[in-house]
Amino acid sequence: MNARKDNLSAYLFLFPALLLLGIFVFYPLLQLLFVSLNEWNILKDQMTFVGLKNYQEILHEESFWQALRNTVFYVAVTVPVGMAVSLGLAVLLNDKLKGVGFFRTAVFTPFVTSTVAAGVIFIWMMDYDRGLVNAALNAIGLSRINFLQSDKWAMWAVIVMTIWKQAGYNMILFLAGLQGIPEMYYEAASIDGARRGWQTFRHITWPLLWPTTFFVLVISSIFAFRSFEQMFVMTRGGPVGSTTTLVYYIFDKAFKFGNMGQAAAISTLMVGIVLLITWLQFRGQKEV
Amino acid sequence: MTTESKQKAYFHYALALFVTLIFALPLLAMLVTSLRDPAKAAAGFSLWPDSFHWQNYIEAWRATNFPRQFINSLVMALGVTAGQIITSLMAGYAFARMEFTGKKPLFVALLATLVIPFQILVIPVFIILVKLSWINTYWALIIPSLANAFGIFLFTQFFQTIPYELEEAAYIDGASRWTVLWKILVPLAKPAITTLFLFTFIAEWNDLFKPLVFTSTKSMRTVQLGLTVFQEQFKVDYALLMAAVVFVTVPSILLFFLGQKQFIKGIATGGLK
Repeated sequence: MNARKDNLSAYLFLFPALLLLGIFVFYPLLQLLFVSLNEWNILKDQMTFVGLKNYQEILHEESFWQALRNTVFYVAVTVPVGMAVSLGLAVLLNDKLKGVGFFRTAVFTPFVTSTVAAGVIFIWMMDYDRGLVNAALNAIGLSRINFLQSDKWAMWAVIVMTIWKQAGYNMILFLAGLQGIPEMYYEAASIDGARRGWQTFRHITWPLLWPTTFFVLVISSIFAFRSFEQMFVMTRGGPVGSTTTLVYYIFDKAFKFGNMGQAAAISTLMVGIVLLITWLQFRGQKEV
Repeated sequence: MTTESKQKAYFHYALALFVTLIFALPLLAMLVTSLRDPAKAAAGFSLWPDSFHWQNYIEAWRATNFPRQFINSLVMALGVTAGQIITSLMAGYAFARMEFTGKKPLFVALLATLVIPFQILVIPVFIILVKLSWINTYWALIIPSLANAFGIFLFTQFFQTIPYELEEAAYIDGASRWTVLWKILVPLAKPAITTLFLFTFIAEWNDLFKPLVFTSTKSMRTVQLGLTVFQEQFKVDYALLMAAVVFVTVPSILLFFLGQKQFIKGIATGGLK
C-alpha cells in the first residue's frame, strides 16, 4: 500500500488535533506541576516560588485526608457493586428474552440523562417527607431517614444514584462480551452433563469474559475517581465534608478560596494516583 | 417445553420485568410528578397522576431564563461536536492511512490522555483561558474541547475497515489526500460520524463542570448549570422541578432514541478494542 513515509502531509492532517491537545492537555500537565510549586492567589495574580510548601500544607490538612478517604470509599463501593449489578443485568437481559430491546432501553436511559437531572430526581426521591424512599420505609414500618442531611447516609445516596445511572453503560459492554463467547463451549459442557446455571457461569462465562470485565473495571475506576457533579448537585460536598471527593476538594480550593497553588498540588497528586492505578491494573491484567 | 423449564422461563421473565421496572421508576415518577398539582406534589409522593397540570412546564420554562440557557447549551454542544468531528476525521485518516515518524509513540500518548480527566487539568486550562480573556465567553466552553482522543480512535479504527482500492483509483486519477478524505472516505464514514455526533453532543449537553467553572454571569449559563440554580430556588416545589428536569433531559434522550443503534454499537466496539 502506501508504505512510503509522508511526514509533511501526515503532520498537516494531525495538526489541528495535536495543536489543541497540546495546548489544552499536554501543556496543562506541565503547567500543573509548575503552579503546584508556587504560591498563587488568583485575586492578586501574584506568583511566588515556594518549592514543596503547598504539598506539605496539604498533607497536614485533615480535610485533604478526609477527601482522599471519601474518594477511596466511593470508588471501592461504586466500582465492584456497579459491576456486579451490570453483569447481573447483562445475564438477565440476554437475547433469548422476548421484548429484550424494551427492557435494555429502560435500563440504559438513565445513562443519557444528565448527572444534574439525575441528581435532582434523587434529591426528590430521598426527600425526608415527600420522597419515594422514605414513603416506602414508612410503609414497611421503618423510621424515615434524612439521607442527604446525614453524614452517615449522604455518600450512600450518591453511590446509589451513580450505580443507577451507570449500570446501563456497563451492561452494554458486558452484553457485547457475552455475545463474543462461542455457543459451542456451552454445548460441549452440556454434553458433559453440566447444567446451565452457576456451574457454566463459573467455569465458562466468567473466565472467557475476563477481558471485558477488566475493561469495565478500568473504565469504571476512572469514571468513579473523577466524580464531582453528583456531589455538587446532591450534597454540595456535605454534610460536614462527608461527600467531598478529591475533585470536589480541588474545586473548592481553586474557585472558592482562590488558592491555585494548593489546588494544583492536589491535582498533581491525583495525576500520579491515576497513572499508578492504571499501571497496576494493566500489570495485574498481564499476570492473570 | 417441560413444565420445569417453562416455570424457569416465566421466573426469568418476571425477574427481568421487576428489575427493569425498578430502573425505570425514577424517570417514570419524574414524568408523573411533572404533571401533578404543585401543592399536592409538595405535600407527598404519589405514582398516580391525579391531574394534568401542563402549566407546570410553562411556569418552569419562564421562572428562570431557560430559553437563553437552551441557546447557550446548543451553541456549546454543536460547536464542540462539529469541531471534534473535523479534527478527529483528519487525525484518524493520518493514523489509518499514512506512515510517519513518531506514529507509534504519538498514538500511545493520545491513549494516555484518555485516563487523565479534564477535572484534574482544570486549573492550568482556567489560567490559559484567563490569559486569553475567554472566561465567560463561548470560546471558553468550546475551544478546549475541540479535540479528543476518543474521536481519533473511533475514526482510525473505522478507516482501517474500509478497503484501500477505492482510494487507489482516485489517486491514479490525480486526486490529493485532502480530496480523498473529504470526497471518498467521509461519505463512507457516516455511521462513525453519527456515533461521534451522538456521544459528543449528549456529553456536552449534559456537562455541568465546564460551564460551572468557565462562566460567571447569568446570561452565559447553560441548561445544566441553570437547573442547579433552579433547584436551589425552588427546593421542594417538586412538580415544577420535575417539569424543568424533563425539558432539560428531553434533547439527550430524544437523540439517544433516534440513534440508539449507532450509540450502542459505538459503546460496544469502543469497549472491545
